[in-house]
Amino acid sequence: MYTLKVEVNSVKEVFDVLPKRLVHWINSIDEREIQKIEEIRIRHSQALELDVNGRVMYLPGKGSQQGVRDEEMQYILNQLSNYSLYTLDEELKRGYITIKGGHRVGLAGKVVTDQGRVKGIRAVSSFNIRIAKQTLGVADRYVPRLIQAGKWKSTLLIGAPKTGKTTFLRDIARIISEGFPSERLPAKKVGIVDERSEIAGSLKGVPQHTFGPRVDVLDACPKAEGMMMMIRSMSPDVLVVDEIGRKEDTEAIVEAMNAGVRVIASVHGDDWHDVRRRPALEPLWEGNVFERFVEFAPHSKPGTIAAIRRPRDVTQAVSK
Amino acid sequence: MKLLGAIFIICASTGIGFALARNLKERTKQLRDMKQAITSLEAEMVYTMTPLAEACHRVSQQVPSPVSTFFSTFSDALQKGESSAYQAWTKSLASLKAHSCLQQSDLDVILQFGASLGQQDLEQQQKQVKLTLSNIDRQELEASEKQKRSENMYKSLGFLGGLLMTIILI
Repeated sequence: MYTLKVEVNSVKEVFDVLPKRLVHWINSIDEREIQKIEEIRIRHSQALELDVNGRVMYLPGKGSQQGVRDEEMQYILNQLSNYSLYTLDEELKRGYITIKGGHRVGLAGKVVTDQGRVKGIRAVSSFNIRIAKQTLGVADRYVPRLIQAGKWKSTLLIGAPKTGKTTFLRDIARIISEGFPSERLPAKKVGIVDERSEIAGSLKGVPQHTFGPRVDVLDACPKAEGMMMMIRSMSPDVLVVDEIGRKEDTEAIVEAMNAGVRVIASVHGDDWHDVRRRPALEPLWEGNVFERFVEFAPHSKPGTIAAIRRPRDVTQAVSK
Repeated sequence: MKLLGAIFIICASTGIGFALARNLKERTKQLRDMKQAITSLEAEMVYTMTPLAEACHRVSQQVPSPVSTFFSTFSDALQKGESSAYQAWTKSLASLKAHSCLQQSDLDVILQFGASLGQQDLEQQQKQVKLTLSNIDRQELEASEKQKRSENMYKSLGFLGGLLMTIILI
């Protein structure tokens, strides 16, 4: 258990894939700012762009004539692929590569299609490295409200993009797998179906984030199918999925419920009312599938929780 | 004394003849080894998607020297962090040139293969392998024909040349 919020994973892991000149540029800024880097954008013959805590920064300086060179773009691609681009066929089709530490590198450039479907990206002209930051402990203080009689409740996390749903989800998965001694919760088996490789940030199937001992991950697997696979093959106590919304997802969740598996999921939306209106999610309300709703506050610091509701509160709110 | 000198000359020239003949034979064999290596490399790339450094390391264990040394040198260079795969390939090829019987035209074919290695997707990589293999095939055919034509000639020429020289000297 983490009493203080601890940020793990470091920007420096990304330096391994960058050419020396660019690393030198980044190292020229303040050490504390380096730790706050959220995104590094590298564009062909342009200056390096950093997103430091929401603030944009150009290196080596705005209006500088020095841009990223052709051979440096090639170098990055070589480092990302271990000089073996053919190993990244699948990743080039999706448009991003996960690297050590769970950081994600998005790609843009010339797209090659085959009968109208994207086959992959050649001639990469932009990289966008998103630094994965795992904040251990963000969910700790909400645990007592997400359990009952020593058991986890199925929970839906509701929030707009960038409000911290995934970070919360990740932390919950960790807490479940490690157990939570202060509430006398034993460690449980967690199955993560990670369609967008965002929760676990797996590299070759191995999660790059800290999850404790009892986590199984299906990486890059379609959610609905993945949930069924998990239930059949890994018998999890709790299933964790990201960004539900399609009809199949709902069906799979109801199915999981019937199998006695708890589900912790996230969904895009402003609050409970917003989500309630979605036709695809309808079956979830009929069966009272979720027993806790965590609403994330928009327009405030990511991770701010506006409310945690129970179905009882919600029905009252509706009948009012 | 004369006899000893005569024997010495004949032995030496015969030796030269045999060495030249062996070179021809070795070139054909090394080309064949190279073909086998590239085929294994293709299998590593296409079926198991092994990264180049590891794939080449495995390939180096499947073929005889000097082709094996070429692939292990290449693999080591990649692991040490060369700026591009092509650069590592070129360097390793230079040392292969010094230790093999391959001719410049053979080396050019191999060099050309290295230019695209690791820079393309699976499909293109496979095409490149096919092209390279057919190019090596052509080199091998040429080498084996040359071997057939000249191998025995070099051997007998070496012996007879030595004989001629002794006769002239005597």
